[in-house]
Amino acid sequence: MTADEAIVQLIAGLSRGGLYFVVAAGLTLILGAMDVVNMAHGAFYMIAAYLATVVITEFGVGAGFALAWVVVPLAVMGIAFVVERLIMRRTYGRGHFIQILTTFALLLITDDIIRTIFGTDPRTVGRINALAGSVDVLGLPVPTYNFFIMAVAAAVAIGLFWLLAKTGYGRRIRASVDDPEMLAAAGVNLQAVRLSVFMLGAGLAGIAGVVVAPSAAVQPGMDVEIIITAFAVTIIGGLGSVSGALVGALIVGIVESIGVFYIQRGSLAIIFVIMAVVLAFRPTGIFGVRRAG
Amino acid sequence: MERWSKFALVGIGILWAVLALAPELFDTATVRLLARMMVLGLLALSLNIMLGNTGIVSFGHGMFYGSGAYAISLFWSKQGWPALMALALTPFIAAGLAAIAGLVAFRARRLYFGLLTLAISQFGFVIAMQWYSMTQGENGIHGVELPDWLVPIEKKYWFIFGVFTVAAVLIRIIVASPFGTTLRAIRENRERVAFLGINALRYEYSAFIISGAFAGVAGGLLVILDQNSFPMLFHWTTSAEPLLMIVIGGAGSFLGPVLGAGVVVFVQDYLREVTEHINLLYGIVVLLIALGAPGGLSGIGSSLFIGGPRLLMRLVRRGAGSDEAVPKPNEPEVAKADWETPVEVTR
Repeated sequence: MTADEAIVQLIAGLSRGGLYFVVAAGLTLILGAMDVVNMAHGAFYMIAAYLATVVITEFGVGAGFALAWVVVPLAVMGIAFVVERLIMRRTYGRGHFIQILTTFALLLITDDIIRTIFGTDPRTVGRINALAGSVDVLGLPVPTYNFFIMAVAAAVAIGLFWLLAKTGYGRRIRASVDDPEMLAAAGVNLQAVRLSVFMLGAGLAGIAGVVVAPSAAVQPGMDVEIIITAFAVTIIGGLGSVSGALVGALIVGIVESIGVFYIQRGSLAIIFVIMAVVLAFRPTGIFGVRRAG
Repeated sequence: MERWSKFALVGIGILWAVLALAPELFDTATVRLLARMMVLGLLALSLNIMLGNTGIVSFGHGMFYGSGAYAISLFWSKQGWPALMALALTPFIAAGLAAIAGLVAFRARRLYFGLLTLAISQFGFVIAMQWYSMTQGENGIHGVELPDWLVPIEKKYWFIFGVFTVAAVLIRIIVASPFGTTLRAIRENRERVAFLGINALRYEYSAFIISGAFAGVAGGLLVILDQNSFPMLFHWTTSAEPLLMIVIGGAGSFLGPVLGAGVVVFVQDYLREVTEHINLLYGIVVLLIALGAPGGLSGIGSSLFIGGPRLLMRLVRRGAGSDEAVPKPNEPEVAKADWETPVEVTR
């Protein structure tokens, strides 16, 4: 790999990492603030990607893409509302294993429904003209869409940091990461905070789904693929830490992009090697805090 | 571990006898299916040493299962060793791997532990995929030769049945021993056990190695049955399958995992011809069990057999005016029973 190619791969890695960040941020918020392991996060992401392809096909590449940005995250949040009220509520405080089982079951059910509706063929949609071409970097073409993904990830990161650091709602979320009982004792409606965090997380998965739809084939199996990566990112960064998710996502994205140069089909293993190394030295992840129990 | 009543022992004995005679009673396809149930049943049993007894979730047992399978295939393809000689080595190879993997994985706890085991197993998957000259990559190693007397399906079945029986009895002895009691004590309250001066981590680590060894044997049996091994054995989805079997069958009962394996193998085989919506069904069943019946099928069964009469008793007593509390049928009575008797401590 030459230096030029390395830079191109680095850019690809940053955009890949950006996508991972948007997914993992939702996952880590739900894990941190609710202590819930949510495998169904991958299902939300896949549902969003499929919905985005439907909207874009239905309304044309230009209007459809704009519309998808509004409709799809909201629709996924609506699904998350129902799932939280009907199912997830019953798993709170019952341990991670029950939650993994429950959300894995949701993953299986979603997968079956998606296959029934859309079949197993990959679906692709076009990109709007402004994002369709490529930009020359050191004489090598880099898809414009890569930069768009990075911009979206940056916007999500800034938005989340602002939300968590500057708003009262963000303070409540951070408080429920640190000590939910104390928060409830202070008179905050914990049920409402949890419901909203679950929906916020699903909304982020929804955004990621819309972002990914025009850049990759939308097909069954993408849910499991993303959830495993997102878990690795979350673990590397430290549970509940949005900064951790950002750092973890960028590390994973870049190492993966450069790694596929050397090991084909081994990207997942590279991620896990990083994870094992990080955990061997910091058993709670880079930004993780050791909690009692 | 639950004590079996005479009634249950007779039931298990009859079932065992029927299984022993299976090649005389059923057609080839059924015998093959039963053999597969036993292979996966042994895998689930081995994993339940961790999940049900120690309360630790390992997402990486595919690593030991796969290593058992590959041990036989590789010794055969590279060294020309007979399959049975390699089979005898599988528990030691898998135990060695577990000892090494445990050194890394036990640095973490809970969810982190689970994901570390998953990571290590996934690493095995990539080695099996990439090291083409050794493992023939994605194709796997096919056509492992078996001794002539082991080729007919009924002989194969009896062999697998025999190994399964011996392994299951050994696992039963281990989990019923003071060692197993200590594991369950750790599951219930790790700190209290530590205060008794017991090194909980050492027990968990030992359980992991023992569990890995039996998973390796299960992988070896798979090669005896199918005569091939392939990278997917290391994949995390392979590790997840026995977890689901345990949950469906019931982690709190000794034979629950075998029941779960039997049900899953049967349903998958049967439904594949009837419907395409296996995942939907699987998902709904797991969802219902996770939310409503953590004891799994055996928990439901025992609450029907034990809880039914108890409920009747309670109604009768209510009628007689007594308000005595009767234990709820669906509580994990297994775990409770262990605490009611004082914990035996080894050494």
